Amino acid sequence: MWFVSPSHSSCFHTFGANKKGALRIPIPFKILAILMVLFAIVAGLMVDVPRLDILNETIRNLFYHVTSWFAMVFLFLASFIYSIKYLSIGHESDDLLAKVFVQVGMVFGVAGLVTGMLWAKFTWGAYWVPDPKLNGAAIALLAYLAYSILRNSLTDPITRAKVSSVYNIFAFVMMVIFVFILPRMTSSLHPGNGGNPAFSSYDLDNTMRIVFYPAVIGWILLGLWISEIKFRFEQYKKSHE
Amino acid sequence: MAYGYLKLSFVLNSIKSHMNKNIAVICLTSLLLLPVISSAQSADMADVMREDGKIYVVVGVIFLIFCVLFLYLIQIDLKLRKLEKGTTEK
Repeated sequence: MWFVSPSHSSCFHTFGANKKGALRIPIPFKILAILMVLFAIVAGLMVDVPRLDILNETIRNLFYHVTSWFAMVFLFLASFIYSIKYLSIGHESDDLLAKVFVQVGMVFGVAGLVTGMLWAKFTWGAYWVPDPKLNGAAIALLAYLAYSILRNSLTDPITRAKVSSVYNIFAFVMMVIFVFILPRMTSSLHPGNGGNPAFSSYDLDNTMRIVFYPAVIGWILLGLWISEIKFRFEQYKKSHE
Repeated sequence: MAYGYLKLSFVLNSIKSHMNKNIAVICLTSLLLLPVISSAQSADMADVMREDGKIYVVVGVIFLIFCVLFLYLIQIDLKLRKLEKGTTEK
């Protein structure tokens, strides 16, 4: 996380104006985010994709649906790291960052879930199928919803930060188990599950890779940017209370 | 077009005396259509946005919507920066 490292002041357990620009994503990364996402949107609609039965043109959803999940997982990972950092060092801004990353990650997660439902309707035949990855993703999102509820239920700021940080670590582990481990141990409709590694030669051809990887990086950077804005807004609000 | 009409009347007058009227009418219509047919075959038009059921227009619209969203995001970022600067100066 070298480009989102908060610059701490010497004060322990303080928010405020002295923490100016605690989370700053350099402008080149923001420009890169815009260019990559725009490239992914346009190229994703225009490039030649493999002609496959049932999937047809919906194979292009890989550039939009899957990247949304990648962004969510990355933001939750960032949140997990900052929760550990909070528990080990104790800067309250780390806990605030963890909270913001979860909130923005949830947006991408809900987007991934809704777009996945639409895709499933036209390829698997129903909006929701009893697939371990679908149910796992839903459970993971509910676990993170519980994180927000837990935060709001505690009033003392330090207790809230500590308890929710501990819970956040648990939620991330749950997410990894339910989204990445359990679907691989049973059979799943998702490619790359049920024992097969994802992105094998027949899942993703080279033209699609050229669009897919910039799309993933672009959406992750965009997620970080939105998190940055949200974090700065929260800090501004705190300093004016 | 004026040149075409001149040519047509000349052709019409010359063949009127020799052939019947039907042939004259066919010649006239074919001569009238000639510039239209030739131009349709040679002229280059911006056909990209009209190809494949105009799907590129939709791509353009999606592109513009995201451009606007990103401009909005940049604007929010800049406004927030201005606010932050205001607090440190106080």
